[in-house]
Amino acid sequence: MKIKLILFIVLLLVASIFITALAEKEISKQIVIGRLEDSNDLDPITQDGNVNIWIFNLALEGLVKTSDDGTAIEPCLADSWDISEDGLTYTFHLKKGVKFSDGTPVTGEDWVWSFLRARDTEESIWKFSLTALKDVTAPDDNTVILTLKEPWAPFLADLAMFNALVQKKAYYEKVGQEAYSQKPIGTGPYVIKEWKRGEYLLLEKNPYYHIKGLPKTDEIKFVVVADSNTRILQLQAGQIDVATFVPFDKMKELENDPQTKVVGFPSTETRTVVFNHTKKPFDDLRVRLALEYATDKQALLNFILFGYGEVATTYTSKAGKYFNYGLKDRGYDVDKAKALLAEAGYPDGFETEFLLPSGNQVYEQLAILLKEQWSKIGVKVNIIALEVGLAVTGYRTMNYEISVHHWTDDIPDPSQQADRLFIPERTNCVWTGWRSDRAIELVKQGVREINPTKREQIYLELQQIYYDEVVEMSMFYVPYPIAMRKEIEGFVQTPFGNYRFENLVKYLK
Amino acid sequence: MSMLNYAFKRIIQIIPILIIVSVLIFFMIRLIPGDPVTIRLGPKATPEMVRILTIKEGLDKPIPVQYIIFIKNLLRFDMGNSIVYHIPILVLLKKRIVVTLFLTLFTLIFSVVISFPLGYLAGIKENKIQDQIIRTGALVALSAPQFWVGLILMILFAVSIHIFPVGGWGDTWLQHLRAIILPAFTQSLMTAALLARNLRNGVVDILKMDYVDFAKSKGLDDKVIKNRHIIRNAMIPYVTLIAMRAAYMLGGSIIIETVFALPGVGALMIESIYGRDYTVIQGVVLIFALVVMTINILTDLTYAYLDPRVRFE
Amino acid sequence: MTIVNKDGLNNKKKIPLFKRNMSINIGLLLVVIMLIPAIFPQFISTHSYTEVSFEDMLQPPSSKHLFGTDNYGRDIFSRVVWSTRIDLTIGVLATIVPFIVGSLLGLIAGYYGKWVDDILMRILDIFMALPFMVIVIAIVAILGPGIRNLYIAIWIVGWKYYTRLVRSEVLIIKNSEFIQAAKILGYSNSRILLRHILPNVLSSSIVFAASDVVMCMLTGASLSFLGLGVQPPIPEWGSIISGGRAFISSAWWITFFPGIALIFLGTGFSLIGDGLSDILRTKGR
Repeated sequence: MKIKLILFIVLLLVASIFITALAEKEISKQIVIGRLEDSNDLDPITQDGNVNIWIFNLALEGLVKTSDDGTAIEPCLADSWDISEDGLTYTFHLKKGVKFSDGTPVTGEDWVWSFLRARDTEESIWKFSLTALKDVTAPDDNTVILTLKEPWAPFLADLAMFNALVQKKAYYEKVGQEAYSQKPIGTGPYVIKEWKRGEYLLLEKNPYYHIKGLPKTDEIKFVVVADSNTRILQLQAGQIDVATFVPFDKMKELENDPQTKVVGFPSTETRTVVFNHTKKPFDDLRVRLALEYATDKQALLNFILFGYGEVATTYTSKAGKYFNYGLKDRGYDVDKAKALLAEAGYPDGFETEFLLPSGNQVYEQLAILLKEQWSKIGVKVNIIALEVGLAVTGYRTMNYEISVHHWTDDIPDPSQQADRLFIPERTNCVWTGWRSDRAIELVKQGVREINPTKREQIYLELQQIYYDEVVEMSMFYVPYPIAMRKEIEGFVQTPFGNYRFENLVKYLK
Repeated sequence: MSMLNYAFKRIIQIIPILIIVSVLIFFMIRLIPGDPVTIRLGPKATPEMVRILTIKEGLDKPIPVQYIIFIKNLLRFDMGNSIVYHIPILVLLKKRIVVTLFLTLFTLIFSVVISFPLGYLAGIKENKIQDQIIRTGALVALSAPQFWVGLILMILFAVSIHIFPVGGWGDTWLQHLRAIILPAFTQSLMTAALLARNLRNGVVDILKMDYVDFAKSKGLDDKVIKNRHIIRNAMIPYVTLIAMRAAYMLGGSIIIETVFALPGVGALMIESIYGRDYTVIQGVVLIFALVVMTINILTDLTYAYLDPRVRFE
Repeated sequence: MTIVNKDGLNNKKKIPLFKRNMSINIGLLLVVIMLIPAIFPQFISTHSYTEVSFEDMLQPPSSKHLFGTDNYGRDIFSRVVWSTRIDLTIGVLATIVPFIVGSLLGLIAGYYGKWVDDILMRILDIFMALPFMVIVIAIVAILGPGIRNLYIAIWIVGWKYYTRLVRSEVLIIKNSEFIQAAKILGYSNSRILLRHILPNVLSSSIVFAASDVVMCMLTGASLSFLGLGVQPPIPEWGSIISGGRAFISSAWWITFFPGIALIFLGTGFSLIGDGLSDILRTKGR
């Protein structure tokens, strides 16, 4: 008997030691994230950019969301959904017991109001995503039914966008537009607690969050540190825990620093060199091809992005749907470039102006290096560095020859980018002045084609057209460069830029 | 004329100036190519998106109409909302001005503390070794680029050893104090150098003046001479320079604010120019004009106090 | 500030020549040394200032690259050398016009007083009321980028400092005995202004001008950084420093050496300014 007792006690001791060893390490109550710019309006409907979107997405949620890697649409506040045969009716079955961060339950009326607000607010620049929505009803608090005017292939993707999140009607009516823009409320893991303009934005754990045990960290504080160098120095000194938009040349340095680590999160960001097709010689396909052959993209990637990211072959990123893997990089071939130029009537090259918006390291390096590379085929580049406002005016009035742009998707669907790129009325085909009737036709078909295989064909062909005509010169797929202290775990940023901080923690030593 | 009359006269003179300044700046910034909406939205903005935001910000109206609305609101003490930040300018500025003022104040304090004793010493020891050293030091300080010095100081005192924070403003007044020391010191070097030289030259000149000898010969004690004659007379250009530097810093501390990540008015101005935030630019320029002219008046009044001859101009 | 000799009317106090001129000598020496790379950069620089080299990126100073290389692999020494001409020109040209115009205006305002002074001071107030950087950027934005417009912008805002300084000095000297004496003697206003007042009030202007040269160089640097001045890849000390800011902890030499060059040239000008003001001050009448 005694022996059994002793054995039992020993077992208990061993078990408790084991358990203590396995016990979760202590985590910090607050995590500080340093960012480039402050938000200016947190109302999902009236705001105008990523600086806001990436914040309120932590506090508000919608029916569906993208997966962490951005490739799929997953349930969020809706557990499941049915789509009618004709593609006109979407019925969503909602998760039960979901509450807003003030403790009140989410009602059907809130859903209806939120969607109508998103679609009908005159001052919203995002309402284009819901133009296909005809009507929305909520027969009970657990069901939302959306009916469309016509079959709309990207609809689910549109629902994952940041203006389709559920908002609380009574709260909005109580506090009014201005206060709402400072502090909207939703069902997300975090609540907007305090916002000191230009300095910091403090988010606090939502006590009513519908997933128990999450989020793990009590407070997230976003501080504004506009100067990149200062931001990095602050990270190294431990004053902030995470730094976003780290200059690429710093990534390596921070990787080697024992106190920090870096991650390049895949994004939908593509950088391109744009040609003005309405100005000679860029109206000639051979000239554009020649310039592409004269560009050693891999070398540029190594130099500018220090190996982070990838060389681009088409206008959409790998995180985008229907990426055309069949298109290959044309490679670096100076002789071929010279031959093409000669064929086009410029055997000795020509002179051109490069419109460079100032203040951007990546663009500046690109301009300087392209100038070097293209000088080898006789193309003399004069760099005109302009302040951003002047640069914008320059390309919007087609008053430039070559420039640089970037693109990021707002929705996990290729239709948005295709629309902007190929429909002239939007942005003059991203300010190239080019057009293709076939492409326009394809874009129109793309939003209506429900059959996934047929849809894929449409978007593959669009990329082929873009590639064949060298509409722009796609340069790089640029990841989100994030650096953080070694003790941070669980930092996730989707390709669409949204933060997923449910599991974000900072371990204390 | 009495001090009061003089002050009154100067204050009245401000009004037409403010009006001219407001008109100038209002129209000038709208002449610059580019507008806040297209810049904000970037290359993928469609005409529809641009149109919606332009109307929302009231920028679709003709410029004179916008000006009238601006003046109307101004009379109600409403300077409008920032186009980029969507909050009233005065609210936006409140915090920012405190930062810049704090920075300027401490810069001036450091500058005076450094330059006054050194400048005076250099002046009374004209051409001796103290003078040479101080003058050389001042010269070198004048030629060093501020952001260069700032970065070096930051590396030395904030990154390698954590005496001061690496940029930023902090949350409590104690933190503000810690945060302002390096930037204020960096900025003060140039001003201190200018002030020291100015004072040194002033002292040297006065020492050569005949009435100093005259006073000495009358048997007045050294200290009295020092206070009444030397310092008082040297103060006029010294104070002028302080005022000029203060005004300059209020409008141009942008570099320091950027390097040390201080949320001041300078940083706000650069952002606003880039982003064509018309309302902020107008508002800040007007307030800046008001502040500068107040400083001018105060300087002139100080002149008039120190040297009665000036009052009667 | 009347300049009267200490010993009375006749005996000029002897100030040892070498002491008085030391500043100018050293200052001139520094500036002249910098004139060499300014005028003959091609003979001094060791590499091309634009040649990009991936393998040589961010190299510390060595025998091959005296000042190291930057993030494009370009030789810093050569870039610093070639920048000299540009920075020197910016500094001098941007200062001269405001110095002349501003000082003259200050002289007139201070001496003639009354309504001339009033108007000039009100105009000055308006210009003072407009923040320097804002106006400079706005002007360059309207006129377009480039060095020439940079000058115009600095000229438009740069004169006010000189006017204020000179005017305050004139006000003080105006009522002094020897000026009264000159008036009684019947000297014309312009003679009094130019031969008696001017040399004495210019000293603080000159001192300021010397530092202004440096400030204009730095203003040029800031504007180039904002994309409103020198266009890449043309080298200019300020833009090299700005480019090196990102690497201050890993490649300090990019930021360090152009800064030293600026200090060197700036100190030279300041010494000259100092020496000159000393001479003017002790010249006396």
